[in-house]
Amino acid sequence: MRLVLPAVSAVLALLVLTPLLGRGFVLNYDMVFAPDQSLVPDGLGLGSALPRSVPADAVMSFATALLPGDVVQKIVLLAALFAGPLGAGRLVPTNSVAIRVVAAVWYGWSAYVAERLFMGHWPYLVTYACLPWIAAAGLAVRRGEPKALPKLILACVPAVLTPTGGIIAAVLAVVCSGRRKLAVTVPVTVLLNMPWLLPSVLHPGGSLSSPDGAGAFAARAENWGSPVTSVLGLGGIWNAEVVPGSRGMPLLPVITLLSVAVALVGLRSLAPRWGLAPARSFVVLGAIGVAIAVFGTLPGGGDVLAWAVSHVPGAGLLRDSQKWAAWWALPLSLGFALGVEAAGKYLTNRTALVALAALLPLITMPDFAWAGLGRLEVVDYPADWSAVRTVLAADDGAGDVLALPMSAFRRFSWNGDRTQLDPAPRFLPRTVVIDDVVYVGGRPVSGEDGRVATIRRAMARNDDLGAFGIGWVLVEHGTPGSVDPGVLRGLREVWSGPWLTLYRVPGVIAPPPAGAPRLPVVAGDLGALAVVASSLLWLLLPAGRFSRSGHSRTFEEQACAH
Amino acid sequence: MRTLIGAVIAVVAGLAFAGGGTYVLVSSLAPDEASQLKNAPAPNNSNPDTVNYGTP
Repeated sequence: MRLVLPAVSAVLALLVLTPLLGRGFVLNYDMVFAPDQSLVPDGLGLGSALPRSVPADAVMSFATALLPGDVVQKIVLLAALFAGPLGAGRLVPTNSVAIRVVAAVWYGWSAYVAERLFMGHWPYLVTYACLPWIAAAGLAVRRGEPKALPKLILACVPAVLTPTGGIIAAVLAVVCSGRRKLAVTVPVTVLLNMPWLLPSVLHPGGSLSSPDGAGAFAARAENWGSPVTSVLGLGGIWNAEVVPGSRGMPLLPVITLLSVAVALVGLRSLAPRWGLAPARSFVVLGAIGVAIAVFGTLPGGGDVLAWAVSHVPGAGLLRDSQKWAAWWALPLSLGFALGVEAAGKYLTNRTALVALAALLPLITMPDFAWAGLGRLEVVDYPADWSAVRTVLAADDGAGDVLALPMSAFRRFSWNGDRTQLDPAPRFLPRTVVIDDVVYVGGRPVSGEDGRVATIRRAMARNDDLGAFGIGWVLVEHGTPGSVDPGVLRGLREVWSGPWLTLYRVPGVIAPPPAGAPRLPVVAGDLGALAVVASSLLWLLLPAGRFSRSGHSRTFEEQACAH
Repeated sequence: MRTLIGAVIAVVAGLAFAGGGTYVLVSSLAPDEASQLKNAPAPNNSNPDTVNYGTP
């Protein structure tokens, strides 16, 4: 019976990812992996852009140095889709494997996972998968179990690859560990988040964002229900293009509200098993996640959010607010499973009830299966990309790369015309400057990178790009957008293929503008690494084990003597 | 009360089966469903000069 839960979790992951397990890359919206990602200053938050993917990019640089990038991508996705349901099933305070399976399926086959996968937000999937393990370790810390703190730290590590994931993980860890452990859990989780926190705070251009995106990235209703019912059902992402068609089912809001009712009944049995304080704070955090997610859709909420984003440093993290509903996923899944358990005690056909409850997520969202029924596919980069990479790697000259046409996103026929983030910054071995204006519903949402704005103005005047630290211009073909011939005039063509043309900017290349100061940022990275290494050592080295087991033996001996 | 909860869960599951079954049936009967679900192009990426990040 021990293998049932891992087997179910594996089946769930494979039901989605099997078509993607061949060699090649899944490139969709924000998901970009490259065969061998180079470590550039942006990967550590030392560039001119805000550190949105820090330290994820640095970690991927190290990972792809060990394994091919497409293999790393598949391992990450499989691990995320497997560990989430497994952790949720293990977290349920019950002796019934069947009830654990219900929680696992509800957690693993959720709209949150489907929509974030289709949106390419793999770090959020990793964070989501860590949450049950963080909750379990946090509860162990609260109970004062030996070695619980290093386990909590290690459970948080995969989640802190991005700012949002780091905050979601840290808050859950602190909440589950309880008030008495604040003096330990708060400093430790802050230290873990230093790799993105310090570059954000020390970013020369500040960390304010454009208010345009507050409304564009708000949670949305996926059917006749409101955004609230969508978020309560763990859906409601801002982008309608990534929502599974089944989320539009007319019956879904009714099913969502009834499942929430069952979950609330089930959560009442959490307090006697976990204790009132942890159970209450666990559920309250879930409710806060829902409240943040729908705040921008409430009357006046959008205005408040727009003001906060443009006036409060770091408040840009509140955009795309549906991501905070991750905190609600565990209470919903665990509560629903416990509600089913409570109901099953008074029904004669318990097996049928549990089977129906476990299958409900799959029945209501069948189009998550098989990579979203073909929505995602594996593709290979055209050979042009490797050729350009080789040229750039062989040149010792200074200068960053400017990617044209000016657009953060691309649509190539070699990738089925899918919308995808420009792969150049992760594929090429130099800092690549890409436009940070994104178009949502055809309307532009301004970016925050001052260097991009400067370069855009320089191109409009046909100024020398070398003065802005640009040594190369990469023109990507077969994607929407035009390139002003005036910008390319005077540049020397170095390499050209059907998909890419690389130009060298002649003359003196100025150094790129300074990003966040290196010393404190690297010190923050080392601090976080030290916390992780110490936790590993505490778990692995015999010293801690001897001292703890010595204590417990003495205690048991004393108890026996009495 | 507890029986009521059990009954509610059973009704929800039944409705979901019916709803899901209807949805799958309707989906499979529609001749162009596969092409719609597979690699559906972004609906308002009609402007040749921009790539739309998404549609709210």
